[in-house]
Amino acid sequence: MPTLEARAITKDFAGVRALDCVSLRIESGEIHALCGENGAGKSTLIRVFSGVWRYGTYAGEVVLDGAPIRLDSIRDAELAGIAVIHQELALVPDLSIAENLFLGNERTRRGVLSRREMVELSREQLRQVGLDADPRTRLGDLGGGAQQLVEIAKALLRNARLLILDEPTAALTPSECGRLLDILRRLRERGATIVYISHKLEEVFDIADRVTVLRDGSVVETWPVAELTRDTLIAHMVGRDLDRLYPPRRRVGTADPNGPPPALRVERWSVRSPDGKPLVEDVSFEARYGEVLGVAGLVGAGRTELLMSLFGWRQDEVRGSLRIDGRPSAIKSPRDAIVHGIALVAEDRKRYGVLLDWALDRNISLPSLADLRRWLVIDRARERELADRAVRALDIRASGLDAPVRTLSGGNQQKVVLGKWTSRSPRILLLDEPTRGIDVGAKAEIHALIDRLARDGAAVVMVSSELPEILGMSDRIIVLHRGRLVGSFDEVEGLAQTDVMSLAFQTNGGR
Amino acid sequence: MLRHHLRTYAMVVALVVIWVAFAAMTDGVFLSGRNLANLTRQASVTAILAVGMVLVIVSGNIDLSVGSLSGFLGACMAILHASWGVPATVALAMAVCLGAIIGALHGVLIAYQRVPAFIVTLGGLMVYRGGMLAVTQGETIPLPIGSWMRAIGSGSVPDAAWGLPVPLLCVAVVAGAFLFVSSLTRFGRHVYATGGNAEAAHLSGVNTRGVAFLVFVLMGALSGIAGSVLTARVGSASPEAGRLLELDAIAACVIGGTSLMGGRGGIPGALLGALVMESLNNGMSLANMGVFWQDMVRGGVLVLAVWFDIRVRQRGA
Repeated sequence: MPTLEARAITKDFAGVRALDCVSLRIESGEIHALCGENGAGKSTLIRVFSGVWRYGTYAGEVVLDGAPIRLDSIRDAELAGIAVIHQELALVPDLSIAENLFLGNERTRRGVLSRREMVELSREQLRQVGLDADPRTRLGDLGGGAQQLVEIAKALLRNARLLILDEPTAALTPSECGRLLDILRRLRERGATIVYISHKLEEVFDIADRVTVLRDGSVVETWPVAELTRDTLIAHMVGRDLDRLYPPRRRVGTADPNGPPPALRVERWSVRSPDGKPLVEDVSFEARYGEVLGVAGLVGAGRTELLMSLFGWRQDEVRGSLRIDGRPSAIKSPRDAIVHGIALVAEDRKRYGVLLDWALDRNISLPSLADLRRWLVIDRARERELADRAVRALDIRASGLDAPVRTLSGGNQQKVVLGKWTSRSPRILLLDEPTRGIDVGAKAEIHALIDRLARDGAAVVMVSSELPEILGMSDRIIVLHRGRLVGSFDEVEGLAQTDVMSLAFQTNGGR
Repeated sequence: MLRHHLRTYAMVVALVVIWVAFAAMTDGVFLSGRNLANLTRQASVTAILAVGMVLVIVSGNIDLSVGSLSGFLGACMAILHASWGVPATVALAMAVCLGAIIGALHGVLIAYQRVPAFIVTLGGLMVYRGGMLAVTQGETIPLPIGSWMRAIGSGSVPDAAWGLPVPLLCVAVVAGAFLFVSSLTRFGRHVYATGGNAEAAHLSGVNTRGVAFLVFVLMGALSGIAGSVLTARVGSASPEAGRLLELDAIAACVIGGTSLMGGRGGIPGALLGALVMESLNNGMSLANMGVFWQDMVRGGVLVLAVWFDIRVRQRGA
């Protein structure tokens, strides 16, 4: 069984030191967590281990089973038994599970695919990872967690002895996460060695044997997990004490029937996909100024579709009524929504949030160009002023206003998305997973920003899959399950994760 | 930065190589003042189309119909003017308006009905070619001798051997206007946003469908101008006019750094690209190379330019 070692690895990118003399040792048969903020060097280290950065493009040595090895390509790493499973899966949705497992590695007999053999072998492999599915199922019909298991099965099929999992649970529901962690424990029992990278510290404590913390390209130290607490681990990652992850809660008086109408009142809201699948059914709720309304639920419960449809993203058929400040409002496009003072920070920032090749200032000004015109021409000076204000207000770290957003870290990209909306002072702010895939430090900053916006009077509706975030940030909570509103909490103080969880899972209702 | 320079150098080097090669093959005739003036007049038509094509491609679309559409509109203008006696300015305005209307039709189909631009304009290519045969009835229609329209094609300002050719002035006006729109206005910014990331742009309040629609309207109008300049330069509208101009226009954009993936590109580059393409066409005719050679080279250059574009971007990424 393998041990993997990094010996004094140093890697530079155009003058920036990404890894600085990193040495660490992964023992055989352990689950070893790598922790660190974005930009700490985790990804670079993995790329060294997996042959993406060729031997010789870095200083130092990779040592497998006590002998230095030379990895010149991903293929070399695979042959050495090292497999990386990324957050974005390398699978083809339109092929079957079996076809995916054998992709690029097909079994043939005299040039003809031997389907039956591959299906049988797949069945065996799926059993190994505890996935109860027919290998002939189309991969795209599986949930995210099951797809992750297929990816692991694929690595095992190629005789991977050392699995490196990079944020494997980022897109999974809590139940899928639980299952994945169970499988990893079972693989460990059978002697597999696993390197585990996750921003979710609960998982690290749940599963890891030892933890190595990276900070600014250097190893802080490696500890057995029992020697760490959540707070000490965060402190090691951040390098300073984060006294609290969540800002102190504000309190808003309960809704006064004679008071002003709520910022947003949604009634009997239903959304159907173009092929008629119900995504959101008959949901009614209200959001008030000065509060954060948390929207909890599993991935696929219709939370994203709810937010997108409120923002006028009409790819789907929408029914129901919407009142803003008590007035019925028809929002037919994002442009309408913006005119009504609504802002949406969408879940997938690279797809929906930013133009990666555009400079920082242009990204921030995009929704505000109409206000920045002098006659027909965009006033560049005012545009840069607007961007500069956002950069300072949100503490966006970039080399300048002209830096392409692609060059920023995930946390700073998310701040750009937030900045583009906060500079419009929206009255209603819809946030979909505002801190997904962001390191702890930036997360706390974004939480503080959301808190500040609510205190300044905005109505915030926040979707999150992280229950601690929902509980830590919300004044009220609604829970969705399979498109329906299944419960709400007007009092969050004293609420436990399990209270929300059991509603989200509808434990008595099947799944 | 390096990427940028590499591309500019490559373009200039290509132009110099082409010019030197043709000068050698034609005993210097290629670089004679007379031919250079002729070259600019020819390049003007491609340049006007390329200017519009930049916006089309940057917005993430393509227009394959511009060659036959400008031929068709040039023919309509000639018939209005020569056969029906409509004044030149009015005939020109009508060609531009008709172009804009046809462009609007493309825009509706592409932006609002979601028919791929490739298909709409490929169909358009055949439709306008047929339309051209119908209106000209297969014959060449000369512009009246002494018409103001002929001056647009062959005149100079001031009217002297060293004067600037009028088509070049047309290019300057059109390119200036489009440069202004694309780089300084909100609409221009929205075109780049739509091509760069349509979903993010839409969620930022950009009317992405409206952007695509308007881009095709502008392309149609420019086809009217380009077609009229083409007819004016030749002095007549022929049923074959405008053949493969769409290829030259698209190649000019790509040579000039416009990415077929959308979101990137610029008008100055496309103007240089048009000069490259037209230098090839002009030089090959002058060197008496067979038409089959000319077609093969034009097609090959288009593919080569896209290949080069992809290589340069990969190196930069």
